[in-house]
Amino acid sequence: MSDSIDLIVKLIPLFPLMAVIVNGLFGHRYSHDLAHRFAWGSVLMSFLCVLAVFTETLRTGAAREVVAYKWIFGGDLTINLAYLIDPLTCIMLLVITGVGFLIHVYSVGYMHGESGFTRFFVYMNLFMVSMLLLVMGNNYVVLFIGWEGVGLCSYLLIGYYYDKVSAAKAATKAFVVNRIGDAGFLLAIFLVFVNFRTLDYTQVMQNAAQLSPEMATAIALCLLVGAVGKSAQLPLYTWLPDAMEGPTPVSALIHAATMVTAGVYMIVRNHAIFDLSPTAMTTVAWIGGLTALFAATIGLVQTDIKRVLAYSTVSQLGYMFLGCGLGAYTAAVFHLMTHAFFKALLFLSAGSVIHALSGEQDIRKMGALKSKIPWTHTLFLIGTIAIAGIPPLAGFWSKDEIMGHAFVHHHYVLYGMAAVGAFLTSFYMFRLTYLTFYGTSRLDHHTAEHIHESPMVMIGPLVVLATLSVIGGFPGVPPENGWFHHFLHSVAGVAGEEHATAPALMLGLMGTATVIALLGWGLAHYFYSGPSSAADALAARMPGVYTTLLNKYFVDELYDRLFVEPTKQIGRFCDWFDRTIIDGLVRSIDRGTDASSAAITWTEKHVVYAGLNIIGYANHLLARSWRRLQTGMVHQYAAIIVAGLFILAHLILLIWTGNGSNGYISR
Amino acid sequence: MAEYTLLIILFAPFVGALALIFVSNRQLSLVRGIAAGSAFISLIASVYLFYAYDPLKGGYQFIQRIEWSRQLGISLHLGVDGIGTPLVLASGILLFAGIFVSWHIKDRVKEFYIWILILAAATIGVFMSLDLFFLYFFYEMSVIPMYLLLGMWGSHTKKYLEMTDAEGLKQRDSVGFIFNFGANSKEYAAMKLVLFLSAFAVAALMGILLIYKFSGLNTFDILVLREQAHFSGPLATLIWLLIFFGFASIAPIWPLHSWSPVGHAAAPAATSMLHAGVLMKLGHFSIIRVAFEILPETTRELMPIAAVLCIFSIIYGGLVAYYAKDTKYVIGYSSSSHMGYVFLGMAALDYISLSGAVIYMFAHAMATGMLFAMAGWVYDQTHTRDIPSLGGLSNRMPFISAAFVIGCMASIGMPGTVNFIAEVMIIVGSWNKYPFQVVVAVLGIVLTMAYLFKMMRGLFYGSMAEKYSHSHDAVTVVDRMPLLIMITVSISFGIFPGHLYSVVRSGVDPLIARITKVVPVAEHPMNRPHATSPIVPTSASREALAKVTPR
Amino acid sequence: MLEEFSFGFPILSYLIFLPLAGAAVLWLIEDEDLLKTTTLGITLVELALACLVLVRFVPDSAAMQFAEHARWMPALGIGYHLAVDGISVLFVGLTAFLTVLVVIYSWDTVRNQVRLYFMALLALETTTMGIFASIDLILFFVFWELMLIPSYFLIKLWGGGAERHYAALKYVLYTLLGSVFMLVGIALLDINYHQWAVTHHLDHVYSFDLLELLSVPIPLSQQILIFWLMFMGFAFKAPVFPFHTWLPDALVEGPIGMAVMLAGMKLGTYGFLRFTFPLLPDASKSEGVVSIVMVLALAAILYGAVVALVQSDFKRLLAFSSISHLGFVVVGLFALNFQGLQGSLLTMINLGFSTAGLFFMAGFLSTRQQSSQLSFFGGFAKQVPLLASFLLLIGMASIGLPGTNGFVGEFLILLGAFKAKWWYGAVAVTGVIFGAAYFLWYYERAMLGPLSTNISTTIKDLHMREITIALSLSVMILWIGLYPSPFLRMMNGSIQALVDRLDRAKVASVDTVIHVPAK
Repeated sequence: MSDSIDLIVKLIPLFPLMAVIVNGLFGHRYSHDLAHRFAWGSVLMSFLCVLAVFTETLRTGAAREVVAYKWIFGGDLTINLAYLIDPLTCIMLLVITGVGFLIHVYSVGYMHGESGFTRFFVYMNLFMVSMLLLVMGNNYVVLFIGWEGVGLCSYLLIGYYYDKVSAAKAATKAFVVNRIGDAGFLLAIFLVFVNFRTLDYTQVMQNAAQLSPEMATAIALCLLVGAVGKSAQLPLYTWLPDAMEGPTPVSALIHAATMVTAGVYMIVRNHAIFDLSPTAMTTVAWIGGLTALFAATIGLVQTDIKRVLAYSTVSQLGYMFLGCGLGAYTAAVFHLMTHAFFKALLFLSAGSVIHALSGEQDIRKMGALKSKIPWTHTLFLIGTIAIAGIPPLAGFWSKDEIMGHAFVHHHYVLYGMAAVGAFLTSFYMFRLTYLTFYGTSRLDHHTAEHIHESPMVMIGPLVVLATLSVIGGFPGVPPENGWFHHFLHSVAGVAGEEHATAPALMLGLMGTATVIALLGWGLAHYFYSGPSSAADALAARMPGVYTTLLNKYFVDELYDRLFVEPTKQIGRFCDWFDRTIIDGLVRSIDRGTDASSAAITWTEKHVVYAGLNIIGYANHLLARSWRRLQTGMVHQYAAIIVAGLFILAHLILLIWTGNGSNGYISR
Repeated sequence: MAEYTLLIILFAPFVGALALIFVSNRQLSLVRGIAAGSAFISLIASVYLFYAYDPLKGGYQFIQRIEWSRQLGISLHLGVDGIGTPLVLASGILLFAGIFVSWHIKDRVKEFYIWILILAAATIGVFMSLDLFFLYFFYEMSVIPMYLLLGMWGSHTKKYLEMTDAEGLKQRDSVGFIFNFGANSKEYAAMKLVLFLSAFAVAALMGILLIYKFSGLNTFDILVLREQAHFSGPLATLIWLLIFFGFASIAPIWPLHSWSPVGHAAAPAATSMLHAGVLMKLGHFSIIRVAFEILPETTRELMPIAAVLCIFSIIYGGLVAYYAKDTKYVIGYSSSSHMGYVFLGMAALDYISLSGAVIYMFAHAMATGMLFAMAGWVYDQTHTRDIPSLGGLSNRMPFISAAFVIGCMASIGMPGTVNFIAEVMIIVGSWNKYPFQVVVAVLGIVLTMAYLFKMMRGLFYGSMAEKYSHSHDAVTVVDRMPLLIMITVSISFGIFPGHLYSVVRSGVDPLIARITKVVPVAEHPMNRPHATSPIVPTSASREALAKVTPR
Repeated sequence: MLEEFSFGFPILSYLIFLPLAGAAVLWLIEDEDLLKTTTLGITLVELALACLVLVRFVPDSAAMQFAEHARWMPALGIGYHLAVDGISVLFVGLTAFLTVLVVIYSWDTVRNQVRLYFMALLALETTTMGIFASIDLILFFVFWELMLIPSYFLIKLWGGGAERHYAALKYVLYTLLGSVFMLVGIALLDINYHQWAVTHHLDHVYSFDLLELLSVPIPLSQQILIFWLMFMGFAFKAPVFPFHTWLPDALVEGPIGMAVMLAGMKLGTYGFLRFTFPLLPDASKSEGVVSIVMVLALAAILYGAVVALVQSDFKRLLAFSSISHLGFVVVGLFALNFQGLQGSLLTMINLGFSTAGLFFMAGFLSTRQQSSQLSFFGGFAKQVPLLASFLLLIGMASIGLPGTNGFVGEFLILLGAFKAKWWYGAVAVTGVIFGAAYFLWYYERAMLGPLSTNISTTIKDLHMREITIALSLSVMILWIGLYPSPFLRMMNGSIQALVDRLDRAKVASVDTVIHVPAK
């Protein structure tokens, strides 16, 4: 049994991988129909495997490690391509393969007729592989494969319409910003290795308590940098709204339900380290709280249907971080799950709207779609209610639990921020709903003629997601003590902190949250339900605030000014430096050689040559008479010279040996 | 027969020259035949000499002694040691190659070959003389033909020709003539060469006579003087300086070099080859043979002079070569720069470095011989040596340009050529004593590559002037053979230097032992059983590296 | 045991001299097609031989394998000693592999003096093989220097740029300048051996043999001197910042084939691993040396990356990215721990696939648009989707995406650097960000966006030969990325031995009594 489960675990990422290979290599040879069947079929197979594994985990309640093969090794380092299956992984797997499967099915309809149909599914499957590795890995490096792999797929899918300049730019931006986070994550991995001499979670978590608080803070903060990048938190969130350039299913799958939650998953996975560092925890909580509020404010005024949802995603991820920072890991994962349901639902419904309107995304050009696309309307409304936090839908339970934690742990400022954020969320989501489906139609003529409800292949998954959005909160009921909490307790429970909130307080908090959500709805209703100009008037009254929000606090511009442009400037400077100074130095050695060779040659000419020539010239003047001997006859030259030499030699010999006893002349 | 080897090598060219006197200039092929034949005999004999020389025995071999003047203690005492043998071989090769390089000479062919043969024979004579008198005799004898070869068959430089159009002679006689660098007539070059070398030869002669006089042995015989003559104090210093500078002028050591590039430039190709290839080595050789053998102590004290001057030789010569625009000036100055390496090797007075210096002499003979032969070819085809006006010849002469690359490579000491071996040995041997010089020397290698590549580019690449489109490649066997011989020698000794090394080492060892009084540590290479057979896997242990690590 | 390591014939000699013999054969062939086929055949046989070596290589071993030892100049201690161990064996395979690809690439891209070109290429292969297989320092130096000749002519005669003559000369002079100092360093090693041998009455009084030189201690001061001399040679060749200016010129002006060989063969850094570290362990790990080299290498990573960021010529961008990658390699080397060395070695191999692969890509681009300048491109992916996909894949390998070979090497390097000193790793890791930025930014501007107007619609996507090249590179990239085990096992033994040697305290104390292996 155990062996077969191991095999099933190994199969989970393998199915989509096979689809990638088959579709990638041969996809252009066969029809789109076959290609998409491979694609969603493989995810379905994975999902079935996940169900099997999940059942097994439910049964045993134990973690399971499965080694596929030895990957990187040498010296004191061994990294296996190995999987860790525990309750946390199971939840993530269920979300990924479940929601993933639905989105795949939806995409069949949504992407119908696109030129890169097969390419799209190859990327989507590749994403599934990466995401599965991310959550299944039993060590940091396998996590990192998935981590960067999803980044790549995100890059590819954002740039799916690559002939659009904005899409191309957004893709690059997403990858590069993610890389900043990745660098931090890498540092965290190194710190872990230096401290633990291993990169396997199990051993790291077992020995985490031995870390010094400073080291724990360092590791946690480095991990946080990675998480912030991937999960689009302040200050690295800017890529996510731009990522909406990708096709809508991509936004639903990658940029709402799965990839962006990887940061949360990673923090929960490493909570043993975070728990050791109050500094890091506070940082996480504050980043989460601030992001939740900050993104919500931007969401208020955006006019692109997907961008509103994008900022909403950033904001909701902020809640998850807030939960993590408060130590409410289960709540964070719970919100992660419910968010996956309703945000996927919202995105896909939005996609359905866009599909219906032949690609129109601007809500200023929508309105009164309720009757034209009733299914979509209903589903979108369910999603809105769920995210707004109105009971008993899924969003309420999970968000309320996080906010409750903030309150009971006396983080009142954070609670306040979360509450305001919740109010804003409710407001902008209902604003979106009203502007899209209610009021007067602002459609242009051409679009209005072609408007149509989406096919069943798209609506079907939406219905499933809507159902999940409605009932998805119940595993976490009652708060802090639901099935979900028990299931996750072994991996996400904070050791030694078992306190139950007083029922009265809990009910009070729940009531407050409901009121806040309803207030937001009410305000949206007041502003947007009819053909009122109240919103415009408000905007006109506060032009500064409005422009700032509309331009997203000018953060993109600020980053451009602060980081991008200076880097390019440095690049240009270095390029100049390289050509002029470094290469110039080399060339100047070249020129120096030229110059010194000229100088030396000058010396040769004016000193060495001239010196000799002067002697020779003087001699020449003195001995003009010798010239008569220059007859040009070779033999004469020779004879004269040889004779001269011999005479010279003999003379010298004579002089030197003249008085000597052994001189031959005296003999 | 074998005992007459030296006589054959020495006198074959003389006999050839003598025979040529009686042949008419009109019988061109006979003239060439006699010249080539005598050179060939000499070459074969010198090859035989080289391989018959027994490095295990060492010392002077093939000794011939013919009394000449008992009263004066002069005899024609011939013999070669490990230093002379390779130089004799080099002379033989270059003479033979030179005959073929000058195959196309039209003007007074007979006389040309006569003088070339005499030049080579005299040079060979120096390398095998064991008698100071004959050493000097042959030395002077090798200088005289140079005068004639330059004056008769040489060429003027381009600048000189430009200067001497209408009132040329006047300009030549004017004071402007003093600054005539790069603008020389062949007569000037010849005169300068002979006067200069003769003047310094007199200094060397003085030294020789002082040795003769003050040794009190009444003999010029080096072997006797080496064993029995003892000089010390100022006299020894004086003799040494006279000998050293007298002979170093032909080497040529800086600043006594200025005759040499002019001479190279003016000379016909074969003469330049012999001149740079072997004639210049007479200087080093004679210093080794006279100063090192007879005045070992003084040599030890004074040789640092050479170590100082060699830096100037290397860099100065290199830089002027870098600037020069005349192919032969480039090669000429490069030669005088390279002779600095030989002086460095000699100055360090080390077994390896002196062996390196001797091998370098041999190697340089081949390399510079190739370059001069090719410069000559290009000159014959284009009638100019002016680099800027040339270019793009590689299409016209692929063989020459390919050979030129090899020549350049040999000249800079590219591995695979024998020059490399020599360079490594000089570096290894001189480092302990003269690290600074070694650094200068290696920079000189880079400089060499810079100017040779510059010249190669100037001659063979880029665009070709229309007027050279009729130039052609060396295609016939006669034209290619000299280059092929020198390339083959250079590369084969570069890859298999074993015998050359042992021969040289056998000559160097006793010399250095005498000078430094340090016994060579290397037991003889041939005696040592070699460690491994050709293909034997080294240890298959997991810890092969660790195993050889000191504990 | 013997059968395990040798084939009964000197395979390394065959590997070295087969291409040279092939070059000689080419001399006799007139027909151009036959010429190309013959060259391809020769390089394929060479590749087969190299694969044989790789397959028969005993992994997890530090032993020198396939050794061939013949006397050459015994008196000078120069021997013809060939062998491969874990450090060099992969390079042998890489050289053979890349040469085949270059031949395939050159099939229709080289039009003038075809025979000479292939002869030069084969000569280059011979010398490169020689460099990797020699363990006698002089023999190594011989090949090291000889490599300049074919390189010079390849750049000069078949280069595409106007400045190719200058580039060729610069390359040669630069390398020569470094290597003459290296020669002095080699000489000093010999002198040191000599002194030791004389005082200890050893058999060989001179030796340039790596294994013999390893057996004698070298005083620290001497080690430092030799280190810097050899550093000159290796750093100039590598090239290590700031000695790199020959590289952009040579790569941009030279032909693609040469650029591939230059960028793919990390000869300089190989030298460190092969000779410097084992011979000069104390100098290599001395504080001063390590900090100077590390600072240079870290500077190279960042400098190369930011300069690459603003390049508009793809080849020039690749040149600077090479410099940046070289920085990584050197950082890993001078981390001097297992991961660093292993990562560097693997990265050297990896760059042979990724950087070299990108140069092929640059070649593909150039054959289509006659330039690799950005202004000639824009939205090119629309026209050549296959090319764009391969470019992205190989580019991702070059920026170290997990799953590709680049990651494994880079990760190990960074880990090693971090282990050595945390801030080495911290600075180096920023290179990861820039790497993505410069590549993707170029890719975005050249390949994505709307199709530029100056691109003719008749431009064709990759043809069969090009696909062969791209595909074989991709296979290697993914293989090493996903299952590096065979490669790691080959190198582990030797790396471990090297680390042990480096870790051992004070190798160079002169009074240590040493044991010389019995011969």
